[in-house]
Amino acid sequence: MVIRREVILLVEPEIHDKIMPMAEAIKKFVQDGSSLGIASVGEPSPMSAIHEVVRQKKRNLTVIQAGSSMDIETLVATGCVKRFISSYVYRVTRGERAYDRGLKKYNVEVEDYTNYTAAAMLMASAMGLSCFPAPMSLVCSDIYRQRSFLGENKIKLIDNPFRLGEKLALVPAFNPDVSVVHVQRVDKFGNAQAWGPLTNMKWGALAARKIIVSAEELVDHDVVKLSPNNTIIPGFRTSAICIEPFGGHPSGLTGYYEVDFAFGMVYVMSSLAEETYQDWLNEWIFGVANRAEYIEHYIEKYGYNALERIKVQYYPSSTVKLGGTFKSYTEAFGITQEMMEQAPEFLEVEVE
Amino acid sequence: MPKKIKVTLDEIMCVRAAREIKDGDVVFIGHGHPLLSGYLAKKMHAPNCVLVTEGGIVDPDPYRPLQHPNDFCSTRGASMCIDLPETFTTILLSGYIDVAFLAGVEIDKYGNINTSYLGGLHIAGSGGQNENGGYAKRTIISVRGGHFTEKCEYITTPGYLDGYDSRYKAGLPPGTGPALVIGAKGVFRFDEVTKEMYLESYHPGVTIEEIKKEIPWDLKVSPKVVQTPVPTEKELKIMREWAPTVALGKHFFQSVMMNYLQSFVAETQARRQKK
Repeated sequence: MVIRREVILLVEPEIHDKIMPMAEAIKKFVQDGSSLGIASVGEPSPMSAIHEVVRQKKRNLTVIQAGSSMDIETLVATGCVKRFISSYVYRVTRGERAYDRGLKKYNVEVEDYTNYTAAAMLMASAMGLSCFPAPMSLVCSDIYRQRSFLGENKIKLIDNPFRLGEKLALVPAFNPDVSVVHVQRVDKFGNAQAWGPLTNMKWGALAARKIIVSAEELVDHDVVKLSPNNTIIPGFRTSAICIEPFGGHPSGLTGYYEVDFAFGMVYVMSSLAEETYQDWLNEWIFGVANRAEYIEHYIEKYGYNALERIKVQYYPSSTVKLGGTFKSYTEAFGITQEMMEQAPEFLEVEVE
Repeated sequence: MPKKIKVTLDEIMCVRAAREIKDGDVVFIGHGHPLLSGYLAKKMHAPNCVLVTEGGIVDPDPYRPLQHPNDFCSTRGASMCIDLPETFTTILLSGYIDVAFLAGVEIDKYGNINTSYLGGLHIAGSGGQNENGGYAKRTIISVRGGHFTEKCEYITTPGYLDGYDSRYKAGLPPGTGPALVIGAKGVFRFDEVTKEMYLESYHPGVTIEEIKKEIPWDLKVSPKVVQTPVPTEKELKIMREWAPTVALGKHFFQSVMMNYLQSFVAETQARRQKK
């Protein structure tokens, strides 16, 4: 194995180094005590990556997400999280969720923002800024007045230097050690393409120092080149590429599969009591080695038809016009060899 | 003899909210009631209203109700797909949202809302509500499952703060604020000067006394108080065809889901027996 890997490295070092199983990516880039950005708001959630973090029992993570649901619940309920920068946690039921029990059991500290301001903190980091202006509605609320682990650095209020007499609220940039995102497709360089409701995916991913891109499909670089507007993460920013079909399940992914409502219901019902929740975790996270096994188990348990129910009948997006005159300047301006030889600014230099 | 119709509380609330949308309005929607109200308005009296979702979908024509605000079925028929920070900055914070919907777990007499903490328990959080409450021209607040309170345990989303002009003194733009509160028993508006909530209409079958009992302050009642309008047959037809699980109420939704789940589980068991 080692020899083979070295051979590959000699051929295309920067390429094959990035494509790896999810287990390896999480092991390599998420450490105990890391800060982790989840680059999604509800859908598509990088569930495959989340499950791997839980499987590897990472501890003391600081997690940031602009709008959460079962992703953060799974992390909090299994004791991975110490601090959570939160803006919303989807509550399906009035009963006690696994999230509620996890907060208590592991003394998780929560700092509250809003979907937009949590996104703005990540956007500031992605843009290389130190902070981002926040709306005054934040200052009019207890989100401003009540502070947890970020203390006075949660939100600052200054005199607006450009508008006399007005105040300006600022939220700090948040630069996670690593972010996880699930997209439709990626090429071997790590150019990640996504479409549909983009929510906070781009900013959430680009905010971090290392980006783990989980993708439904690996496509040729030529496919990316045909629709460069759809690329949200350039390859040079991607640290790990994990090809994870159904990596967002049970959340949906535009053009691939819908949110799996029935499976989500099974999950929610199991989450209402600790014992049934542990059973669920043992079956769907600890009982499988990776996402491929998770899907195999799903098909084995519910049948292939269950998976077919959520598959999307897609229609192609209309193509846009890219292109050019495809004429070089030599051709376009009629530049001949003779003209070039007579260019007036030549210097004569001696060569050995 | 007046004709009797069957209607749910959810339908009464959704229709009341829909009628508050004017043709041409730009409307920030989520899922559930707000989405249905926006959809209904577009199909009825406001064909030129533009719906906007948090995740960046502008002017969608979803084939079924969204199951959460960023459900991708909203991409069908959409005119523009952007992202969350773009939606909040270029559309909401810069003043282009006419109507936004909010939901309150707790609401006080000035329309301030709590969706964050109840008895110290972290219940949900702001989501997109704080900015919508701050910057939409008119907000419609639903308190279907929540309650009215003298003082919110936590103010997640500003309404009129302490009443009068306190909201604007605190830095929120003029011409914004809560317009309508739709409760489970009645509909409320805000006094133009004091910004205190008053009763505008009571739902069919509910008395003003019953409503007053649920409100912990001395509720003022509009001299023109009327019964909340009942949905028309056309409105009911549109809602039930497109969003039966929203229109027909939570219990209907739960029973549909339980049936669906049971058939799912039954298939699993049948598979096991075959093996």
